[in-house]
Amino acid sequence: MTAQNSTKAQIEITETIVVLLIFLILLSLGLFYYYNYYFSSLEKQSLQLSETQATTLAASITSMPEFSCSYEQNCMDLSKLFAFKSVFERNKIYYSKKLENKYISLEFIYPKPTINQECINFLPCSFFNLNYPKQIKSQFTIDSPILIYSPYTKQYNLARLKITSYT
Amino acid sequence: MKKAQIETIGLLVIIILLIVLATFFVSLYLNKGDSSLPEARTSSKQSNFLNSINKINIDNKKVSDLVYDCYSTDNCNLLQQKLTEITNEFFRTTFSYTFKADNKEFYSFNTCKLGLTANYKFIKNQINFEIILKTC
Repeated sequence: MTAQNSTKAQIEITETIVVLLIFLILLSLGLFYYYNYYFSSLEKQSLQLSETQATTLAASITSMPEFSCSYEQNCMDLSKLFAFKSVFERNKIYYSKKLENKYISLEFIYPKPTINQECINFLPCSFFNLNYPKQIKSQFTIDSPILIYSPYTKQYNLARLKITSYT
Repeated sequence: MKKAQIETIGLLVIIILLIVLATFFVSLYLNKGDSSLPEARTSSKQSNFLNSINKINIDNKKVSDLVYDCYSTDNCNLLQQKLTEITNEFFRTTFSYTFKADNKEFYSFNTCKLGLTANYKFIKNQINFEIILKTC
């Protein structure tokens, strides 16, 4: 009778241990998938936020008084763009906050530039670099067509505004 | 502890687990991201593009002049060539252009069945013109 009781108790203990083990395995699997999903959704949200910020910046940069044309929307003034380099250097902290951690460039598309060179000191050129942060990891680039007004020739050029986000 | 009490606790644990699982799947379902941003961006890009190309000079002519030439003389080669060249710089997908005068289509090139559309309207010589750009 005592031996029978002991065997029954042992079986019940083993049964409890197996149930506990299965429960723990299921729980850890559940937690693993939950955290996997949680972190991937966080990454996705961060990407979406960054994308929204870049889109907003692309829409608002042309209305900044540092670049905007006097009479036209979605347009940048060439003389202001040339002047911006020195303004940026003198107010680096302000602009790195305002333009965030984004690489911003302007590339002339039409008329096609004859020379492939960054625009400095009013010389013939093909692109402007407006903000170049210390990039760690490139996320994505958005581009938008934009007008560049030249007060020297009194004509508009078509350019591509490129904003690259970094994490 | 009596057997009945233990079984009640087991049942409670199962119910709690079910609630946790249900909450997890409901949050998964509700957190599906908003996918309208790429469309909104393309749409804004199209509008900006059409507004911009109508300000630039192409061979000393505005796009509106080229459209008018195409309408009045049937010579649309320069318009098609230049628009294709410039549009290819900005849109990596296939695209199509349709031109209308007083709401009647008079010229179109390329085909794009499903896509986002933007238009630009202007008046020249008392004719209402419309340029419709569609990107696939």
